[in-house]
Amino acid sequence: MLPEQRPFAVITSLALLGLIVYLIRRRKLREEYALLWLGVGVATIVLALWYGLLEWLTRLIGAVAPTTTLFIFAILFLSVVAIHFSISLSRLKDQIRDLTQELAILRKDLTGSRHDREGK
Amino acid sequence: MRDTLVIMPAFNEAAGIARTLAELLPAAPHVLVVDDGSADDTAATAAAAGAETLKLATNLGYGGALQAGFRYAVRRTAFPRFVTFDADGQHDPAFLPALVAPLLRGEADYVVGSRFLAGERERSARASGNRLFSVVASLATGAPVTDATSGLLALTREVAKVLLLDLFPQDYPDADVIIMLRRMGFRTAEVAVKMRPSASGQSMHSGILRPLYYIAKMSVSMLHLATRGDLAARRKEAQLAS
Repeated sequence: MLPEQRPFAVITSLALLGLIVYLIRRRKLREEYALLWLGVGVATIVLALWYGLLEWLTRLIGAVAPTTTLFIFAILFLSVVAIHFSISLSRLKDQIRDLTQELAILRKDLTGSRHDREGK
Repeated sequence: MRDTLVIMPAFNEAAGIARTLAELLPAAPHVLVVDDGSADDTAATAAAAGAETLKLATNLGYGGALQAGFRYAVRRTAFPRFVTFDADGQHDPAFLPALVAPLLRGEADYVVGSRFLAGERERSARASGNRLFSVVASLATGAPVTDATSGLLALTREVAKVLLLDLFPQDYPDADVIIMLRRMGFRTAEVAVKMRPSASGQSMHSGILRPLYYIAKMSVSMLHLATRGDLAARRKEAQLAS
């Protein structure tokens, strides 16, 4: 890493971590996501300060340039996060469908139903 | 048709639903209109026309509205069989006795009103997709399926309970449901019906991307339901749950 690259990397990582902490304190991030994003924030700071770790990782996975290592892990991580969000969305949709159907039935119970008495 | 509940999902059909009901109610006195979160007065219009109504707080789509109807029908009524009927006037009540007949004779648990059984042909991307899956479904189930996307269905209470499971497709019951039901041991049948052009003219399948999405989605869903190993157990679970 060139000497002038380090300040930018550290500042960006700190800003990211600051944003995450802010969102957690404002209760805008639920705990499950808070932990995940805190981990991301800390990992970027560690990588920004400790270039040797990135070089070691690069040799470990057989990549040529450290930037490749960064991008590989970033893309992998974001893919997993996207899948996780897809699962959450599917579950939320199912829950909304169930709630909407239940709500409609309960609302009908309140307003009275002819079929209660006639259905045979 | 006195002991049959007709379930009619309706989304923004206030303009035409009174006419549909006026034609339907003399043939089938028990109609439940499921207002799928309409922005207009669909539910009030249907109630004024003499139907029972179930009003969804938000738009769930055809399948979700239909399932709401089944859920209400299974939980709150004692009807032994149900018919699903479109609100837009494309279904003809004259075919209801023939549609329900296989259920009454104990020959089938799930009857599809088919446009194509009598040899009718339609030329569109949708019809081609429909035929493609009909062929696949016929091969997969060993039973002829000619009009899997038909919204005119007759089914027993037991089948309705199964359709409350999370296996029910998000969009609407199709060839995948026929495959699932047959693999569960239910008997499905088809009855020839004629349908009128939809009054609102807007099919759920218009456009270019939607047919493609439909083909991809149905392929995945059919493959999933054709290969699942727990369907018999899920059928038992459905009967115990409701």
